[in-house]
Amino acid sequence: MSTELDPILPSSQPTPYGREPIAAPRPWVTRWESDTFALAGPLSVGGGLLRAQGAVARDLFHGRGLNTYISGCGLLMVFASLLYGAILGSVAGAGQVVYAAVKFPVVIVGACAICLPSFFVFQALTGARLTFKQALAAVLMLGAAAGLILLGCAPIAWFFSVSTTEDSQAFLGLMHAVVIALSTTFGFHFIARTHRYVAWKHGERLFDGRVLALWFGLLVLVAAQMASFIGPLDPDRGLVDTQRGFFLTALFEV
Amino acid sequence: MAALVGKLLHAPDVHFRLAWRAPGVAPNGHLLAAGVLGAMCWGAAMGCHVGRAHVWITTLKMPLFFLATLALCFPLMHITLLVSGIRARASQTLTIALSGISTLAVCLGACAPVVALFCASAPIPSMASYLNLYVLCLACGIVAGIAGLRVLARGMRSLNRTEQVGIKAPLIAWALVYQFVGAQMAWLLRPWIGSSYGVDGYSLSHGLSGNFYMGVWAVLMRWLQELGAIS
Repeated sequence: MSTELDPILPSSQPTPYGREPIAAPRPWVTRWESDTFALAGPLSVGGGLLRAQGAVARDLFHGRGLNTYISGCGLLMVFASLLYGAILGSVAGAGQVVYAAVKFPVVIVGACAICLPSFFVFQALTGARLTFKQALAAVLMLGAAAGLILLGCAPIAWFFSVSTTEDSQAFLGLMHAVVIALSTTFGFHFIARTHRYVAWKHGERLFDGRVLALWFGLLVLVAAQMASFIGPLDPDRGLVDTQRGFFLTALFEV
Repeated sequence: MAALVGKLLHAPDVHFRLAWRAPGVAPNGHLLAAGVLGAMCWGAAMGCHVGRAHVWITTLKMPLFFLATLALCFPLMHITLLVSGIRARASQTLTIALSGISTLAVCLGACAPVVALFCASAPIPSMASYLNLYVLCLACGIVAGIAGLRVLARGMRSLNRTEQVGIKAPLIAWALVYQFVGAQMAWLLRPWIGSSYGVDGYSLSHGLSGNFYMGVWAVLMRWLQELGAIS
C-alpha cells in the first residue's frame, strides 16, 4: 500500500480546536511531510516506524492499513520484550531466563491492555477524533517504538549482564532502568509528535495532548504495578506465582 | 587500501561521495583492514612496556576491542541515525562507523612508534612510569578520538542531503554509546599497558571480575573518604 501525500492546508486557515497551526513548520515536520512508506505486511511496520514516521502518522490518522499496523506493532512489541526479558533474567541465572522472557512481555502487553480503555474513553471525552481501532493502533505503536529501542540496546545490555559480577547488581539495575525509561520515552515521543503533526497538517486533534501526557503517566504506573505483581525478576517465584503489594513498597525494599 | 586511507584522512567528503556512488563490500573491507592494522600497531606499542608475551596478546586484543565494541553498539547506532531523520541503509551506517573507527585506529597507529619508545624505555616496576604512560596513551586517544569524530560528522552530513536535521544529536549519541560500551569492553580485556608487578598475559576470570563503572565509583568513594568528605 503506498502512502500519498495529502495537500497541506494554508497556515492561515482557522482550526476548530485550540492552537493555530505553526506558520513555518519545524524541520522535523518538513521531514515527516516528505516521508513515504509502502506498507508490505506486519513485518515491514518496524521499518516504517524508524524510517518514515510521517507516513505512519498519516496512515494512523486516515485509518489506512490499521489491521496490518496492529498485528505488526503487536508482534514487534512482544518479540522485543521477550528478548529483553531474557536478558534481564540472565542476571539471576539460566533458570530465570525463561521465566523473565515469558513474564516481561506479559507485563508490557498487560499494561497496554489495561490502559487501552482509559486511553480511548478519555481521548474521546476531550474531543479527540479517533476510533477504537486507531486508539489500539496508537497504543501498540507506542509499545513497538519503545520495543525498537529495546532491541537496539539488547546487545549492550547482554554484554554488561555477562561481563559484570554479582556485586554490581545496583549498576545493572540502574542500567536496565535507564534503557527501559529511554525506550518508553521514545515511544511516547513518537505518539506526541504524531499528535503535533496531525494538528499542524489538518488542524484537527487526533489526540488530546494533556490527556496523552496524563495517560502516559498512568501507563508507567500500571506497568510498574504489573511488574511488582508478576515479578519477572524475582528468582523465588514460579511462572504463575504472583505477589500482592504496592510497587513503591517493593521498590523501597530493594 | 592506501589510497582509500589517504582519501579518508585528507578528503573525507570525497571518500564518502565515492562510497555512496559505489556501495559494496570492498570499501568496508578496506576500511576494516586499515583499522585492524592501525589498532594492532597501537596494541603492540602498549604491550612493549611489559614485553614478552604481552606484546602479541595486546596486539590481538586491540582490534578485538574496537570491533567487538562496534558489533555491540551497531544496532543502536543505526536506530539512532534513523530516528534522528538521517535515512541511512545499514551498509551506509557501517561505512560511516568503520570510517570513524579506522581514522581513530590509523591515528593511534601513527602514534604507536612514539608510545612504543616510551613504553619500552620506562622503568619497570614503577607506578609513576605507569601513570605517565597512561597519560600519554590518554592524550593520544583524545587526539585520535577527535579525528575520528570529525570523520563521523562528515559521514553523517554527507548522507543528510536535505539539511532538515542536525547531526549533533546522533553524533553525541554515537560517541556516548561507544564510550559507554567501550569502557566496559576495555575493562573486560584489561590489562593494556600491563601490570608493572610481574603479572602479564590475559585471564578471562580477571577480566570478568567487577565492572568498570563500579570500579570508578569505588575509587571516587575512596578519594572522598581520604579527603574526609564522607565517613
